[in-house]
Amino acid sequence: MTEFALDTSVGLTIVVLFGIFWVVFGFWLGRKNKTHEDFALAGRNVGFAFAAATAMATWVTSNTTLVAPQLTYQFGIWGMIGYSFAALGLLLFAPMAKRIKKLLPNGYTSGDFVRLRYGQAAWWVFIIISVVYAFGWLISLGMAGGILLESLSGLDYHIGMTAILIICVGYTLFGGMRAVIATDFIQALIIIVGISAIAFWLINNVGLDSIHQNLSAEHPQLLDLLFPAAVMFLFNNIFFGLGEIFHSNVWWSRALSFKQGVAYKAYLTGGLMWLPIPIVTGFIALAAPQLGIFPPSADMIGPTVAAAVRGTTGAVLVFIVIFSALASSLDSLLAATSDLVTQDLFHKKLCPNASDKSLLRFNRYCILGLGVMTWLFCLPRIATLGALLNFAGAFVASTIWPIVLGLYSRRLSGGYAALAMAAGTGLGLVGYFMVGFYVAALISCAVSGLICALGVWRAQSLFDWQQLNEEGG
Amino acid sequence: MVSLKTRQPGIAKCVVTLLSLCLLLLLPRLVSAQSLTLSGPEDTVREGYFTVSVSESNSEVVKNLVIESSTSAGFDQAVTHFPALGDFKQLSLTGFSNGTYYLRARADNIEAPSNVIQVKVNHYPLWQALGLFFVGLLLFIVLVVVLLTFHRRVQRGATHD
Repeated sequence: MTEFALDTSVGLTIVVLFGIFWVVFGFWLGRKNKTHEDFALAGRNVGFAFAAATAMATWVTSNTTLVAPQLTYQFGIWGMIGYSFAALGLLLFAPMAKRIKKLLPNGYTSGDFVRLRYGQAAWWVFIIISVVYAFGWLISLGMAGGILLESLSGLDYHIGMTAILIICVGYTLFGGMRAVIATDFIQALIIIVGISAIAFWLINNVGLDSIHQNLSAEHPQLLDLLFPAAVMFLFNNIFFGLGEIFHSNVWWSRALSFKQGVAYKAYLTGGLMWLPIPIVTGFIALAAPQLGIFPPSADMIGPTVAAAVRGTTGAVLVFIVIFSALASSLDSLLAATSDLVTQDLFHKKLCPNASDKSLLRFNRYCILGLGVMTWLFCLPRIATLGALLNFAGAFVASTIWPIVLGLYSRRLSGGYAALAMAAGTGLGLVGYFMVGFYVAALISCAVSGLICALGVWRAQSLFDWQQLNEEGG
Repeated sequence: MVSLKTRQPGIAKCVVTLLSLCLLLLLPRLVSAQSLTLSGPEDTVREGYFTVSVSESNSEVVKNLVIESSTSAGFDQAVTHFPALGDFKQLSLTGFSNGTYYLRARADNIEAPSNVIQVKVNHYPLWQALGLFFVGLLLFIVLVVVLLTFHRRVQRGATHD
């Protein structure tokens, strides 16, 4: 394996063709957007098929296509199985999505909920966590675009990263949530078919027995079910996934944009569809030692192995699948984060009397601004994707308990919620730097949970659910 | 004649000086063209995976770079080969059990192998890993029970905690 699977020119051609297709499609879909609600929440009228597809496709991201193989390459069997447990985030969010839709029929964002439920102090902590997470994820997605092109065609990382950002910003800017959900539907189909084909080719060409023999002889640790770091990583990954989904406006805005009665079934279906995908993408990485592939960075392992199995055809397929996966998440995150900034910061704090047209315009500027900032952060390749994503784990896992208790219990006050999120994040980061990325989310969730339990136990007053029905959205 | 006699040693001196200068200029190039430098983790590896990098003093193309790994410093037993991907000079290696590993780099167009580095792998103790595992499991069970209990209660239409 001394040459890249794709010519640089072929890689660039696919990027350009895909880019034109998605941007034109986004522009075509965007013609139906008349109001800010149309643009931000697709008119709150998304049906089951699109809802389930967008839930699944958005969760298939650089996490699943690049980080799941990376963690399997590093942690072996547990990396693969542990990663698939991130589906629990979608499955457990299903009942919460139903509750969100009921409590906030006119709501826009997760930030809206935290502000109304817990007040200003908790809202500020939550917004900081949301922004750190959103940028961590955006940067990891931009980086993944660059890594993808580099590992398949040898093209400079900066060109691939710039290309994927321009394309996703382009069609989200024109089409808003409607374009995000429609493109997610197509991308979900591409991802399922493509990943199944790659796994089939791998088993056919390399064989399970030979992979097992090679690992047993030369990398036995990868097959060890008592691999210490991997055992430590397992629940950390689950809490990271739960924190990502429970707090992020990506998932809240979807719950709010779905038709009445759709959210619960859509998230359950999306979670079940997603569950086997990391096992398949992770399995690809286990074949690497047998194929003599040792990449410069562990996050390049997935595409390089898949391309090695089927040469140029495989590389094109891998490219299309991962490109779709990245795009389906990047567009969702751009749309959800710009909604959060537009609604929670611009509309609620800076310009309460802004017209619908101003909100729509500001939302578009936001998408553009986020794209530019992500590009700037992506320029230096600061860490591997896994390490970067798990840094955000310390932040998001601290929101699990405040969100769950905030939705269902009236006993947790804003002060305890703010303290739980701040202390959970702080101690999670201590764990990240002192022990490793595989304990950050676990520590964060545990600390936050203890403080929330104390808050519920010592509750002096009960929250009135009517306070969530804010006039004017 | 006098002038010729006096000039001849001067020319010879110049030629010798020039040749010496050329040799001095060429010498470091010849030496550096043959040298690979391997670097890796300096601290003990706790997870069984790590990255090694190879540098080549002249920045010339290194053909078929391979990292050799052995558990003996003399590379006389169980040598494993890890080929680099494409033109990359960095490799991410994984799946190492507890022990001390010796690594060096080789390339087709460079005769001598690189320096030998020593990597110590010492995984976290199992009790520590299992301790965190069970803390995580307990926390997860509590979360699921709380969430499902609340959800059922809401489904039944209860309005108070």
